[in-house]
Amino acid sequence: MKRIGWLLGTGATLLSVLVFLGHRQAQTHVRTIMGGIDAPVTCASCHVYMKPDFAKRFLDEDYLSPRDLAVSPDGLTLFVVAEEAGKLLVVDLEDGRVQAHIEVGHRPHSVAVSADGSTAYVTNSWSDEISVIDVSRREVVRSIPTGMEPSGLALCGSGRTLYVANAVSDDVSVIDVEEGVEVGRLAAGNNPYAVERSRDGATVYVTSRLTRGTDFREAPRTEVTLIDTATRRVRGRAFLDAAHLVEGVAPLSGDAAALVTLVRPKNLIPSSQVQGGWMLTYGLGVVSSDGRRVVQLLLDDQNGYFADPYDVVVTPDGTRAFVSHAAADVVSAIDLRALLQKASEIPDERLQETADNLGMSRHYVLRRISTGPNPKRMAVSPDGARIYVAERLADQIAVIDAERMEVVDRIDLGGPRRVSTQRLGAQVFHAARAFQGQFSCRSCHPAMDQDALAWDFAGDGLGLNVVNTMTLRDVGPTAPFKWAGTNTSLYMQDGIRFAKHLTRVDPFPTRELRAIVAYMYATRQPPNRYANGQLTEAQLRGKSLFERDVDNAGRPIAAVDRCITCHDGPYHTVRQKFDVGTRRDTDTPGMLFDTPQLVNITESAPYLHDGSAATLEQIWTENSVNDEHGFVSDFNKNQLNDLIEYLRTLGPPQ
Amino acid sequence: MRSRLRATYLLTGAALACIAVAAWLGSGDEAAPSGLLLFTEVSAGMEVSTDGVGYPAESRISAVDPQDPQNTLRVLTGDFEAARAPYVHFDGRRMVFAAQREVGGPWQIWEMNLATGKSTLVVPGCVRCSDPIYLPDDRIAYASVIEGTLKSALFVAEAGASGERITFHPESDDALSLLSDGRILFRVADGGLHGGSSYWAVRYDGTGAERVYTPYGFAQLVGAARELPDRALMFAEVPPDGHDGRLTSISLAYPAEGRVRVAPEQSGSFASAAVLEDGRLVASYRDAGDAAFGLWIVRTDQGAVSEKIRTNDGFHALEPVLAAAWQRPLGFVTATDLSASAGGVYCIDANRSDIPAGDRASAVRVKSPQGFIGEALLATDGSFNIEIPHDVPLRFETVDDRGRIVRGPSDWVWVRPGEVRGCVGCHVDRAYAPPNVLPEAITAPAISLVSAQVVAAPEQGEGTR
Repeated sequence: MKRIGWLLGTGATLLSVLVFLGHRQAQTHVRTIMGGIDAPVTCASCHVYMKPDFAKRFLDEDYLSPRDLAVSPDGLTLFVVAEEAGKLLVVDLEDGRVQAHIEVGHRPHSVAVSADGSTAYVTNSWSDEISVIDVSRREVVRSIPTGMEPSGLALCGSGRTLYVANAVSDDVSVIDVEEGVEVGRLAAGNNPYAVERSRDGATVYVTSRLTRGTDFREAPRTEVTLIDTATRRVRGRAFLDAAHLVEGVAPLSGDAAALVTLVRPKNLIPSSQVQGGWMLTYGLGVVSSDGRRVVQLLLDDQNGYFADPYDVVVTPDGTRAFVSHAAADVVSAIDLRALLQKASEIPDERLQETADNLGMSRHYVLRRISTGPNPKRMAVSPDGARIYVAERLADQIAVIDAERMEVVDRIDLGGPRRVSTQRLGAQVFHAARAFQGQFSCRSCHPAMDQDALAWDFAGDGLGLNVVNTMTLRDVGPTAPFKWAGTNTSLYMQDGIRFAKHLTRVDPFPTRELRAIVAYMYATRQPPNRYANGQLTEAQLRGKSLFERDVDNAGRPIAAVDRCITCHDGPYHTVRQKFDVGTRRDTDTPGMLFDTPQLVNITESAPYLHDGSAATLEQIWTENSVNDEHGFVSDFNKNQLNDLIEYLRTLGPPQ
Repeated sequence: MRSRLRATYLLTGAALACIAVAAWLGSGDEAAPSGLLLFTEVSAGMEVSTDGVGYPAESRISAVDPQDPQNTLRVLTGDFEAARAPYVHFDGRRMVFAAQREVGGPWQIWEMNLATGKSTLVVPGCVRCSDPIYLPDDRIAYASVIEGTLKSALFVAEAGASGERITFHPESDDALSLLSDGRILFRVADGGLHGGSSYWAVRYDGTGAERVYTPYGFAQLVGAARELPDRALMFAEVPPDGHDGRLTSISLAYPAEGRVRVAPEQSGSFASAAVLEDGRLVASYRDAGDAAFGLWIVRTDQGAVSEKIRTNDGFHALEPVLAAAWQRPLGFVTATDLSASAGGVYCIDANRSDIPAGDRASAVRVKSPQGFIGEALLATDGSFNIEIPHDVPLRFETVDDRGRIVRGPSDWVWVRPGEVRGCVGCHVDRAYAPPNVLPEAITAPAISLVSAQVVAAPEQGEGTR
C-alpha cells in the first residue's frame, strides 16, 4: 500500500513537473515564433487557424457569396452572381426560390442580361473571359476572352455590343456579342471597375478604383471614363479629385449624367484622430454629361460614417437613389432631386470645400435601411417598386420596398447556415469597426489588395514613417509584417496596437481575431497573367538578370547586391530586413525594410515602403540610384525593360 | 457486491446532481427588477434651478413600475441621508449613484445591486462627487468639485480606487451621460465665450474633447442629456428670458442643425427625460400650478404630455432612468502616454475660417488662464504644428505681422499627455472634415511652447473635495 502511495505521489510530481516544463516550453516557443505576445494565443492559433488547407477543410463551408445581380426585363427572374461558388444562380422572383445553378468561370464578378431576357453575360474575373449563358437552356453556350480581370459590364447598341472593364489591364474590352469577339480595347483609369450605359444609350461610364497620375504625397485623382457608343471611342475623362474607390455608377438624365460612389481618404494628414472625418469619408459624385464638372457630396454625418459605398441605383422615375454601404450594413435612401439641386447650387470654386462637409447629407438622405452583412450590388425591378440587394456575406438577397424604404422580404439563396471561422473573419474584415464606424479593414484593402496610397500613421510622430499600403493577398506566409517587419504575426498586426493607433476602439475579441487571421491566411492571389506557360525571350533575358551573379563586364556581383538574394522563395521574399537606400530623412534613423513579396507585383503599384516609386522602373531610375537596391547601374534601358518583363511573371506558388 | 456498487454509483450521482443544482442556484443573482423607472426625489420645497439639483438634503432614489396602475413607490436609498443621480449598468442589474451616508457627510459614489438593494462604496475619497455613469470598460466617470473652488471637473475611477481627472475646463463640468460611440457627454456650465452652458463630448481618457451643442441665445441647459435609440439627444433647456425648462432634442448626426422643441404645445416646465422599454418618452414635468415635478409620458406626435406616471406634491421626481439592460458601447485602448511631458496641436490652415477677416494671420498665440504661453509662426500654407503643455486649459488666437488679432480666441481646450490634436482651421464649422492635403508645418519638428511658468492643474485623483 505504501509502495502504491509512493508511486502515485512520484507520478503526480513528475506529471506536474512535465506540465510546468511543457507550459514554459510552449511559452518560449510562442515567444520565439511570435516575437512577443500582445494577443491571447493558444496552440490552435497557429496550428489550426494559420493552416488554411486544414482550416478550409475542417472549419469552412462552401459559401455562395452573391456579389452582383440583375433582374430580367419582365421582372420575373433574378440572376445572381455567386462569387465563391463560381455560379450564376437563377431565382424565380414569384416564389423566391433558386431555380438553377449554372457553373461559370473562375471568380465570377458581374452579370448583364439582354433586352429580351434570353441571354445572360457573366464576367469571370480570374479566368479573363465572359460566359455567355442561354437563359432558357440554363447553360453556358460560349466563352469570350477579355482583358485582364474583367469586372463590370454593360450591354449597348441594341444589345450587340458589350463593354467590359478590365481591372488589371486598365482598359475596356469592346465585344461584339453576336460574333463573340473582342473588337476593340480602350484605355481606362487605374483599376476600372463598374460599367453602366447612359439612359439614352449614347454613352458608357466606366469607373476606376485607384488613383493615377499623381505625384508622390499628393491626393488621389480617380477617373471616370466616358465612352461614345456610336464611335466606340473614349469621348471624355472625368476626374474625381481627392477621391478614389469609385465602385458604383448609375445613369441620370439631363445635365447631370451619372452618379458614382466614392471614398475620400485623408492619407496625407497624420492619423492623429478619427473623429471629425480625419481618416476617411464617403459619398456620391455627380458627373456632368461632358465630364468636366464633378460635384462630390458626402453621405456621412457629423458623428456617423457609412463606410465603403459600393453601388448606387436610381428608380426609373428618377426620384430616388439607393446606395449600398458594404461595411456599414446599410442602404441609404436618397432624395435624388434634393441631391441634384444641392449639386447644381455649388459654385466651382467651392467644390472641394463642400466635398468635405459632413452636414450636407441632411438635405438629401431620407433614411438608412439596415441590411445583412456586406451589401454589395443592387438591382431595381422594372416597375421601380423593389430594390434587390446582394447581402454577400449572408448568402441572401434583401428586398427593399422603394416607396416605404424598408426591407420587406429576404430571398435565401441556399448557402450554409453555419458561420464558419473563415466566414466570421470575412465578416469582421468587411465591417466598419473603427470609431463611429468610420472604416473597415477593407477600406484600405479592397479585394484584400491595396489602395495605392501611402499613409501617415501618427503613432510614431507627425509626418514620419509614411507607409505604402501592402497587399493582403497571400500575406500569411510572408511574415514578418509591416514595412519595418516589426510584427511577427498577424495576431500582433491586428491586435492591441492596431486598435490603439488606428481603429481607436476596443481590439477585436479573441474569437474574431482568430477568425480574421484564418480569413487572411486563406486569401489567395489571383493567377499571374504574364507567365503563359513559357517565358518570352524578353522575360527569359530578365530572368537571367534577376538571377545573375556577374555584371555586364563579367565582374562578380556581391551576393547582397543580387536580386535573387533577397527575393527568393515561393513568394519571392526571404522575409528579412535590408537597407536598400530608400530610407528618407522622415523615416526612423537606421530603419531597415522588410523584403516585400513580388507575387503579381504589377498589380500593386506604387512601390517601395513609402510608395514613392509610381512604376517598377522608377525604383531604379529615381529612387535607388546608387546600386543599393540591387546592382543595376550597368543596365541599359533594354535590360531594365527585360528585368521588369520578368518581374511581371512572378506569380503565386502552384 | 454488484448492487452495492450500483448503490454507490447512484449515491455519487445524486450527490453530484445536488452539488450542481446548489451551485446553479447559488451562482445566479436574484432577478433584477427590469422595466422599473428609477428617479431622484427631491423635496418640493427646494427650487430646481438651471444648475440642476446639486447636492440636495434628504433627497432619495426611488422606483416605480410604469405599467403599475397603483403607482407603488419603492424607496431604494432608505439607508442614506441623501441620494441622487441614478445610472443603470449595461446589464440592467445595478446602478451607480451619488449619495451622502450621514448628515454633513461627504457626497460619494455608490453602487447598488438592484435585486438585493445592497450598496457598496465604489469611489472612496470624494467629498462632493456627483453624476456618476458606467463606462464601456466598467470603470466609473463622475463629476467632482475641485478643491478651493466651486467648479467641478470630470474624473474616471476603477471601482474602489481614486479617480483620474480627465477634463480641464476653467469652467464647471458636470451632468454626464454615455453616448453610443463610447464618449462621455457632459455639460459645461458658464460655457466660455458664449456665457451660457453647452454640451461637450470627450473620450474617457480625456482626449478629443469637443463642443457638441450650444443653445441659442444663452439658454441654460438643465442637467444631463440622454441619447435616444435614433441618435437624438434629449434634454431640457431654459431660455434666458424665462424660468421654464423646454424639452428639446437635437440629432447627433447634425448637432448644429435641426434643433426640435419636443413638446411645444405644452405649458409648464420640463427638467429631464428617459425612454421606456416600449419606446415611450417619459419626462420630469410640472405645470404652472403644480407643486412639484412629476413623471409624465410625452406624446411627441401631439407635442404634449399625455399620461401621468408619478406625481407627489411633496417631492420633485427628477432624473428618470430605466432599469433595464442596454447595449454596451465599444470602448477603446487609450493612446495617451502619461509619462509624456507635453501634448500637441497641429492645424491644417489657420487662415481658413467661417469668420471673415481682412488680414492674413502670420502666427498663432496660445494662452492659458494664467496668461501668455507662447507664439509660433504659421507656415506659408497657414499650417502650424506646436507642442503645448498637457492638462491645462488653453486658448488659441491668430495674429498678423503687426501682432494684431486676426481671429480668436478659441474655446478653451486641452490635450492629454502625448495626445496630438488636429484642427481644420480657425473657427471652422465642425461639420467640415479636413481636406486631404499635406500641411507644410508637419514636415518639420513641432515648435515647443511648453513653459515652466504655466500653473499645472491638480494631479490625478487629488484636489477634489
